[in-house]
Amino acid sequence: MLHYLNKYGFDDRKTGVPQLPVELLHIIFEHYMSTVPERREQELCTETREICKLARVNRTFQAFFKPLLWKRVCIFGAKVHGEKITSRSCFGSFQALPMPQLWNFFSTFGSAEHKEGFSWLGPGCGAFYESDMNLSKFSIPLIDSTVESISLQNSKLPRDVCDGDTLIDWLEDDPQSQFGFRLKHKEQPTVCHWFVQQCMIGAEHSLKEVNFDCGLSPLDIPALYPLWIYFERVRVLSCLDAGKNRANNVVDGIAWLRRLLLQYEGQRDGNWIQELITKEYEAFDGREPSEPVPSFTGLDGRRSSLWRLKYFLRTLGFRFLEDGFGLVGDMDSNLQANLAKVVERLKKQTRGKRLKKQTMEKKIEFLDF
Amino acid sequence: MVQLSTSDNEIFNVDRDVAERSVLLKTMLDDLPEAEENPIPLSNVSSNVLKKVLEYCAHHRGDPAPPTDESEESRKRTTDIGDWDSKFINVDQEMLFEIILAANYLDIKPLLDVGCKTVANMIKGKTPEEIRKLFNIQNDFTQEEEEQIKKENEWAEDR
Repeated sequence: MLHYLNKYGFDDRKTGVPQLPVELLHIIFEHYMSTVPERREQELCTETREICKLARVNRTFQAFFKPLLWKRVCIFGAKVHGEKITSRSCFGSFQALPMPQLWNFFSTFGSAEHKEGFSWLGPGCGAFYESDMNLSKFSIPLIDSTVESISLQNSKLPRDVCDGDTLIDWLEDDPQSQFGFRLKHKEQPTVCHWFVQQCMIGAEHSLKEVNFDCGLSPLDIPALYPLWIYFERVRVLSCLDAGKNRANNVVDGIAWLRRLLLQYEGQRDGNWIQELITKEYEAFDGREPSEPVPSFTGLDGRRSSLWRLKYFLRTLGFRFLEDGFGLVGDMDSNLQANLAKVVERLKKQTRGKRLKKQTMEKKIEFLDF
Repeated sequence: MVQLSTSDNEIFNVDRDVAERSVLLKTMLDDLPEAEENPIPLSNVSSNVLKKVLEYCAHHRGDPAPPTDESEESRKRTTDIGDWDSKFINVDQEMLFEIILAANYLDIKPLLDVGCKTVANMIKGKTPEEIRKLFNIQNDFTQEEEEQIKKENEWAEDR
């Protein structure tokens, strides 16, 4: 029998109120979250406050709500232009917090140690900071348990994270701080947010080592493709920044790839994904010049040109070599494995169903292949 | 008619279309012809709860069958509740939770949603301590963890 709490602890009165199993609590939480106002451009949105509050109830609540919080604050951060909050990441459809709040979050929740000269006048303004950040102390889901190391090629940050040739110093002298770094830059919170976002994505794919090739945007990191495909499947497609031409190539490419993988009826053994992609591309590329311009069907049902497909395939590790089309080096085994997992998951999710996308993909239907 | 036997050994005679609002019972009646002749034991549901559940099923007997899949379209998450359902579910907390458990056991998704939406509405505006009371759950954080959580969430507190 269960008991109510009183201010002295549990009392002995039998209440008769049954406990609900976790799966029912989750249904309740989902109903609840659907009613909490989102995307309020206030100091701190109601939704985030509610998530924080509910995460404090007990471990079950925390397990449900804390990841939501991280997704809103860390993965789906934002930057401010004037008074408007605009997403700076590719996850524009999610909750956005203005950077000052994000900075507050980091300074309270994290281990930022402010040293001399700190001042905050808003994004893109203010002084340079000299602070040590240790991501391992942020209790970021997955990072603690999955990612063992992170590194940055040439220690330079990507230009879309911060302008200029900003260098990052890893705090390698502290063995407890493998995710620690020091950075002098006016947009340090933005950079921290970017790091967390990248680490979370890496961790979600069970990558023990997260290496950032800053020449690539997250959309272009091959190991992350299963994630984009998954996002598309679960209808957060607008998270992909379709407003940019480069991203459109990727979005169209994902749609093409997904259809290709799901429609494949042969054996799914060995390098079947790689072979399938190669064969399909060659079928495009092998057409006579007199034929109409080769194209493939993009996400919105429009025909996209071959160069878009080329661009997409390049991000998957394919290159156009002198002797033809093929892979340079090896297709990341993680990618291969992850894609295979995604295919299986998609098949399972779409089995026996006929789902229609409601967002950008009105003309395309998921079928049970 | 179908006979249902509750955990406290009460027998309910129910029209088949009312009983079939429960996916569990519908499956049993479809698959096991003898289920129509013998009382179906519902060992997880007491008579006072089953009475309420059957009241709901009888009122909604003419409704279209609920979708069988779990897609988002079929079970839109909101806390909107219809007028009749709202009056029906206006019961004490113990009964509410029992109805939710029974709806889950009997697989009556619309009723489960009504119950869950009602509880979701009850969460609104409550403190963590009040929510613990509502759900009859223990605060299983250690004191240190609670301090840490409080610190983590300070930034979101009203100031």
